[in-house]
Amino acid sequence: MSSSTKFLTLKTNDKEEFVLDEAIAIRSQTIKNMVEDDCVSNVIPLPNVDSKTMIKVIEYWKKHSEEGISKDKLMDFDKAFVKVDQSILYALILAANFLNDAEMLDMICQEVANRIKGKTPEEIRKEFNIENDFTPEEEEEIRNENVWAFE
Amino acid sequence: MECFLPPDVLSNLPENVLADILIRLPLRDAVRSSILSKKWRYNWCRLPQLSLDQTLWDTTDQSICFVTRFTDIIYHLLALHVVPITKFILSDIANLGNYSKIDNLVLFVSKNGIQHLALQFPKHKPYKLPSSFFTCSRMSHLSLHHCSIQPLSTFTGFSELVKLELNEVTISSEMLGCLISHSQLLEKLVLQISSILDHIQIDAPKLKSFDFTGNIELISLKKVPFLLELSLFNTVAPSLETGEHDFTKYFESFPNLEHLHLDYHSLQLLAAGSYDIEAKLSSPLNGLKCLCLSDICLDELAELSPALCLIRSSPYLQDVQIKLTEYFDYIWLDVTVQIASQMSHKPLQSR
Repeated sequence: MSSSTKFLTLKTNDKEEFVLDEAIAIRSQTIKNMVEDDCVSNVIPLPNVDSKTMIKVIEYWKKHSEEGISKDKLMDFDKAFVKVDQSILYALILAANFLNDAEMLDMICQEVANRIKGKTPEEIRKEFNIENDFTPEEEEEIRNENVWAFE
Repeated sequence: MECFLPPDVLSNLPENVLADILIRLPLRDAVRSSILSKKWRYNWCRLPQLSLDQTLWDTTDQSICFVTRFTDIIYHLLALHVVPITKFILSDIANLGNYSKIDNLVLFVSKNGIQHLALQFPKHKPYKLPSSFFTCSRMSHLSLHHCSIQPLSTFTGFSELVKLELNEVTISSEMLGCLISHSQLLEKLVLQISSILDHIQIDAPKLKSFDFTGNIELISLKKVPFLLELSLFNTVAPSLETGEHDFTKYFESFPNLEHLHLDYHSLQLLAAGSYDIEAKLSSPLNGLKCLCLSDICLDELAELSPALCLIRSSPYLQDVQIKLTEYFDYIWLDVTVQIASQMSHKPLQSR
C-alpha cells in the first residue's frame, strides 16, 4: 500500500467504528462531499446506518473496488448480495440512499422491483405486509379508474 | 397469532427511493400498485418516466380497435400524471393505423421539458417526426428507430444532447452533420444507417464513443479530442476514387483513442488506396489498448498494411483481434507471422 493512502473512520449509530481507505469510502457521494468540503475531522458519524448494515455496505464497496475483477464475477457477487431477508434489504436501501451511492441503490431497487413484478396486488400486500385500507367501494373505483391495467 | 410480520417498511421508504423502484416495473405493474393501499394510490402518477410498448394495448378482444385502445390508455396516463414526463420511451409499436395520435403525444412531451426520448417504429412503417419534435430544447438523450428526420430550416440542433442513437432513420448527410455539430455536449453517438450517405464531418468536442454501421463515403473526425472508442462498419465496399485524405493523419485529432474496431471495408476506406507496407501514423496512438479488425479478407498480404501501420503506431496495445472471413483462413498463418514481427517487443495478448 502506498504511503499516500488515507484512511477514514466511520462511526455507525450503534457506536461501532470502521476504518476504511478513503478511496473506497468515497464511493459514497455523501462522504465524498464531506471530504471535498474539508469538513472531515477524525471520525465521520453515520447516524442513519447501523454496524450490521455497514459491514454489508463495506463488503460491497471492497468487492466493487477490486482491481481487475471481471464483470461476471461482480454480477455473481451482486446476485448473492441481494439474496437477503427483506429487513436487511430495507436497511441496505436506506443506507445506500443516505450514503448516496447511486450504483448500489440502483441494484437494490431493482431487486425490490423484481420481488414485486408479476404478482397480484394481494400477493404483493402479503409479501410486503401492506395493509389494505380501502373499502370494497374504493377498490372498485380504483379498478375503474385504471381499467386497462387490471384487465 | 401471527404478529411477527415485519412492519410495512416498503410503503414508508423515502419518496425518491419508491419512485426508483416503481420506475423499474413494467408500466402496467406500476399502475396496478395504486390498489395496494391509500399511500400507494397515486405513487405511479409521480414518476417522471413513461415507457410504453405494444404489450400495453394488445388485447384479445377483437371488437376494440387498436388506435382507440391506445388513445384511451394514453389519455388515462396523461390525465392522471402529476409531474412532467422527462423520460418517454415508445417501443415495439405495430398495429397502429396511422400516427396522428403519436404526433399529439410528441407535441405533449415536447412542451413539458422532455430530456430523454426513445421512439422505435417498425421497419415497414417509419414515422415522420412532427415539427414539435424539433422544439425539445432540453433533450439530452435521444434514440430513434425508423424515423424520418426532416426539420424546418430554422432548426439549430439540440444544444443539451449528450447521447444520440439513430437506427435506420431517413436523414440527409447534411442534416446529420448539422445535428451532430450543433450538439456540443455530445458524448456518445451510435449511427446505424443503411441508406447511402456521402461525406459527413463530425465536430463534437466532448465525444467519447462513436459507433457507426452503414454505407458512407467518408467520415471526417476533426474536432473530437476526447474520443476513446471508435467503431466503424461499412456495409459496402468503398468506391475506388475515395481518398483525398491521408490515412497516416486520420487519427491525429483523437490521440487518446483506447478502443478501435474496424471492419474490412472501413479499413479500405480509411486506407484510401495507400498500401505502403512501411507506413507509420503521423503521431502514435499512445492510448490504444484494444484493436479489433473484423471480416478481414485478403487477396494480397499488402492489403493488411493499414492494419500493420496501426499496430506499429500503437506502442501500448494490449489486445489485438483479427477476424478473417472464413474463405481466407488459409493465409492466416502468414498474417500472424507478419503481425508477430511487428509486435515482438510488446507485451501482447493476441487472439
